[in-house]
Amino acid sequence: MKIPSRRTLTIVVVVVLVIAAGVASWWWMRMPPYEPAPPTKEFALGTVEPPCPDLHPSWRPSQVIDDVTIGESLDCEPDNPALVAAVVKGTNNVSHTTLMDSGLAMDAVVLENDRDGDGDPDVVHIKLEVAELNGRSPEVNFPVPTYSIAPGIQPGFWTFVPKPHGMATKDIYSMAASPLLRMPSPTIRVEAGDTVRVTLENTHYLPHTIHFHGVDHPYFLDNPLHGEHRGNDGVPETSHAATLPGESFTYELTPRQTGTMLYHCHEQPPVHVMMGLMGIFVVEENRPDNWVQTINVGAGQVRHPAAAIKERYASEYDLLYQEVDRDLGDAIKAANDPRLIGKATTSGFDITKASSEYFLLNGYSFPYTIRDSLIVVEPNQKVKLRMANGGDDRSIAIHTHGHKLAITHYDGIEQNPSAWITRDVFDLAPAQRLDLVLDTTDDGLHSYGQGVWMVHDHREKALTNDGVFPGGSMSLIVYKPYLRENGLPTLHGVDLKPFFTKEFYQRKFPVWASYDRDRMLVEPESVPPSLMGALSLAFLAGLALGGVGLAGYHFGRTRRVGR
Amino acid sequence: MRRARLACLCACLTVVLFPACQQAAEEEAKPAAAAPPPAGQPTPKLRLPEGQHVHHQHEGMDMDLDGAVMNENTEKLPQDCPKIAGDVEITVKAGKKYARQYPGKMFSYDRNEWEAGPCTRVKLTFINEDPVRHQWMMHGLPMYLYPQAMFHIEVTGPAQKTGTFILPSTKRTYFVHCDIAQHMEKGMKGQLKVAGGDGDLLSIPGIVGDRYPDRYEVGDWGWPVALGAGFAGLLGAGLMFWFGRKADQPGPSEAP
Repeated sequence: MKIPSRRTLTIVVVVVLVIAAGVASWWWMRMPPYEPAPPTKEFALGTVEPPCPDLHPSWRPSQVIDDVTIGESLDCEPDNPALVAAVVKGTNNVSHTTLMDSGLAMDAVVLENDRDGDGDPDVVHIKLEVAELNGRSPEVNFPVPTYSIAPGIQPGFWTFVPKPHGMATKDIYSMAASPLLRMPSPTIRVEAGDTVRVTLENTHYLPHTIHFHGVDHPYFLDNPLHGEHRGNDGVPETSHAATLPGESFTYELTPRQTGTMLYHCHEQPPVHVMMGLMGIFVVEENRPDNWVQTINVGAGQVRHPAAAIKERYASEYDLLYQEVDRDLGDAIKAANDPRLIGKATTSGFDITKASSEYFLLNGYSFPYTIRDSLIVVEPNQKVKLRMANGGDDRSIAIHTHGHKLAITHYDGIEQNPSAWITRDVFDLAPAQRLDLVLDTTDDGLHSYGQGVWMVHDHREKALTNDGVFPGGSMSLIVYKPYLRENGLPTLHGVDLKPFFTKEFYQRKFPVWASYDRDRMLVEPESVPPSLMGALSLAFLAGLALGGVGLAGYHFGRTRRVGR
Repeated sequence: MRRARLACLCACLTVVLFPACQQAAEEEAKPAAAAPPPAGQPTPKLRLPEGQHVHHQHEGMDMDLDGAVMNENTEKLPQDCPKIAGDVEITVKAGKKYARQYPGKMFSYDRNEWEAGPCTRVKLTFINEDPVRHQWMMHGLPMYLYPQAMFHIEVTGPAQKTGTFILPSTKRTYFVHCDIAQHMEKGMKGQLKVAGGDGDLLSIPGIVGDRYPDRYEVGDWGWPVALGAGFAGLLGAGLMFWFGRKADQPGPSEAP
């Protein structure tokens, strides 16, 4: 074949380029014909969970069980009254039916010995286990036992659990965690002056301790149950070695001061605290006949408030804010061998590079928070909130819509009432606590009147579940007329259904798809591929390839000639 | 599913005092005499009980501070058993130390497989050697005798409990585990085979492997890789040489 000369080739290329430039300019300069943009895409809602499964309507009213008065709790998922009765009266003192209904072991909360003769027990022995939620199984490829913080969201957790009896799941047909196995670690509540023994029965496969943060406790114990002089501070590096798997350790304290404090595991705290091993510890004033609610599973409303609280407040709530690093939680799903998990959660984890994806209030993220963490009020009430930050960010910033609250205590220490600060954003550094009084007097300052008012962290990322709004630790202050019989508030805004699907938090269901009546906002359909476009693309690609080939040919020819 | 109440073994006594099995309570465990209630107090009023409740029996659950036996059955025959074929006693020990023989596990039983004949009455003693809870929970028994189809012993700490159940005649492998979170996953699982059983279950330490096994770091592959590569290289070079020789030889048609 005769090879065309360089000159001919150059002419051909120039002519082609000129024609192409001409066509392109015509295309740009012409009046474009109208072509309708693609229509709005149809989205089907996934399986919608019932916003309130309403499993235990009989648990809501005020009731008396084994002589224990249990206050009304109007949430969708109120605390089990039998459980409240068992932890007020002691698992050693309640009836068999109550104990069985509570799910607790008989030695979970042993109350005895009214030392000061004031009508309530003064020696408290609490046993805590450590449970793993959403862990790995060598047999199935889903997390066990399953605990969802929001639809379809199951991060790995470790949590303290008041010693249960029986199964870790709801029943033999379910892989869902039993109601005692949940986030956060339960609130512990005792009376000042009580001798409190807390036994850590380490049912988990890694070492753990308990450190009583801000709670008066002796550094050493000389005459404990173990009969030896040993540390009592829960810090493995200074006080005593951590409690190994399958072992137990008893801490003893007789707190002299009242206040809202904390307890948490101090073994590898950058991991163990973030995995969920932290709870609120409340020391109540010593009063006669003061049977306090020793354990508040899942925190939230205290259905049997202590005597001093009942005198001053209509109701009381424990609010523990936490955040979740999904990658850390995933470490327990990646392996079954405790050595591999141990490595992944120590040298394999770097908290300085960690970030949080989920934000919890009392163990749930929105929308599940409205099932179990509403603050239900009536006008002209005073409600006590004990707020704690169990997270790791610089601070949280809890904002109350419609209300300004007074801070009565910082870190459990009561302020002089003249120094109380009233505000509507409460910043808490990690591990800080605030006692707040929510006053529902409609005076334009304390309350702006009845309604359904949001309570949320004003770090806007904490309003999301892994970046998807609405989620996070938001909850509501709900005035009773706005509460339905099933414990859900009457909402006047958008349909909540999409938020009760896992697809919404997987970003598969667009935010406005459920109420964009005119269908003018939701995502457009994808455009069908155009024949002209495809052909042009192919032509251009061919041209480029040909150009490269031509250049190569000429390069080779030049070299040959040059030689 | 509603919990069957057929096997209500004992009268429903909500509180039974059993001084015989009373725990060695601490000195201060003795309840103080309750103060007389002040006048004008609303009822009901909580009081520390006079005695300690140490034993509960209720709906197939026999519970005290040491633990519980659920769905004990010493007499009721399964429908397919004309009579009890025999009595066997099985002792199961549970604890962390039994997992030492299985690297990567944390809790286990002293044995992970037990055998029993059809229609035998099994008296099972469960000894917990750890100061934490452990369970021996067996699933798959007939629902009409065992609510939730299970027989269950739970021991709350270092103690033991004994319970009895009667097996049906079917040749079957029963699933046994400790249902405390992560105890089965970390090794506390076993199987009870009746008449040789009908196969094995997954993840029985020492007997059956995992459906989703762990991946471990792969050790030094240097020598096997170098040897393998060297061998393959030599083989390849040899083949090329041989083909080359073949190609260089003039074919019969090109022969001069």
